[in-house]
Amino acid sequence: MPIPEKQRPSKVNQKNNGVKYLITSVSLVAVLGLWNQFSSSDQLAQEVSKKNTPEPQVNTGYDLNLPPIPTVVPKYYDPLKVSSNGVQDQVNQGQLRQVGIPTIQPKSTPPITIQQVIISQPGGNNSGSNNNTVVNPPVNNTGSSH
Amino acid sequence: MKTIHFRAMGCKMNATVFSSSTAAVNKLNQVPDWFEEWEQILSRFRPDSELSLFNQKFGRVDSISPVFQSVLRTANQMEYESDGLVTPKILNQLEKIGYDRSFDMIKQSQSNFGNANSLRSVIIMEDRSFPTENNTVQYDFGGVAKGWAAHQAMQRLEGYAPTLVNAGGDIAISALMPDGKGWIIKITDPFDHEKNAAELRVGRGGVATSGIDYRIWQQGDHLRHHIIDPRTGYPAETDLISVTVIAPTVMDAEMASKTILILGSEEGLKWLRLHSSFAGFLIYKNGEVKISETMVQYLRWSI
Repeated sequence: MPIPEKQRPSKVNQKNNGVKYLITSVSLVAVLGLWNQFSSSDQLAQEVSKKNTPEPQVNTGYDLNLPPIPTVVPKYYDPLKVSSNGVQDQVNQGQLRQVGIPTIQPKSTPPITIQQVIISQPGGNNSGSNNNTVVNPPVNNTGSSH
Repeated sequence: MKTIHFRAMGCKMNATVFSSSTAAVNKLNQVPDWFEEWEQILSRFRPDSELSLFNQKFGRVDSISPVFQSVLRTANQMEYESDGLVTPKILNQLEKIGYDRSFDMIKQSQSNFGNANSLRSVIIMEDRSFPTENNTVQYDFGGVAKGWAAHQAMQRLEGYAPTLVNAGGDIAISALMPDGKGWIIKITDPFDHEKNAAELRVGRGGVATSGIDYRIWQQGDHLRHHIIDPRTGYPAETDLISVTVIAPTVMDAEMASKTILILGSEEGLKWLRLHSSFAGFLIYKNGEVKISETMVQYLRWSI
């Protein structure tokens, strides 16, 4: 019984398979080669970039510049905006405070008040027990006992 | 503020309290009475004082009053802390050199201390046989009593307000003045008692001065003073004329000033450096002044 046409191995197909393998191999080699070429170009570009970039200064152990914890840093104060009384104006810049700039504590200046001071004379009487300024403080002498 | 002035124990006294309340003023007015009471117990110039009776019996008494006991304890403490240089057991020697009555009754000798070593050149130690501990030792509370009394009076007044009690230059201070500043204390210039050698600002504590510029007298050919060196039994030979000390208490100040005066400047300054709680102001017979480092904080100005 003769083999049907469709089931018989084709000589043409066998020849085509060889070409296919050849093309696949060439393509693979080409892809790998081009990949290698491009990757070398990136590395070269990085090396050039490194050469043009200045080396960062090495910080000593005393000059750590760690970022602050965002939840605890105060608002940013512009060091240039210092009011006449020495207290910085508080300006919310929405930025983190620069760690190197110490926070200046606002000074609270007590209001100036005038105290009335009454110092009693010997034998006199006054009720100024809350006054704490001594006018004409007593002067005592120490020396060989007289 | 109220101040009273009075005289007791042969010296000028004053007491100040920063209060005008009736209770404080009433208490302040009692100070002279306290001193009179204490003098009656502690004075060796009163024949009927407890001290005189104590000395007459050379300490062989059945009992002593609480005041006498307290002063005796203070004097013994001073003797211990001064390594024996400040001792109450010098009455025999004081009387031997002529200090046998109240100083007001002794004609004060005039001397010029402007010359260096003037006192040293006059006093001749012809007899160094000082009686040691024996059955005839008698006591003189001298400066101890004044310092003790100033401290006691200050303690009785300090509950009312800041208080200062000045017993002839032995000054007890309870606290800073109401304005937060120290009390103004001026050191009398030993060469001119009308002038001051320095001004101090002192808070709680004591100030005392020992000097050989006032209680001096002539005994025969010898010029005497009342600061006895127990090592010799005679007035201390020293290159200092006046020593002022600031200390935690006026009794400490009294002890320290007398110790330094007896030791002289060189040994005295060494001793002072070992006691960092004391501040010293030393005036030499030649007019030179030296102070301890601890004195700087109190000193406002000096000659």
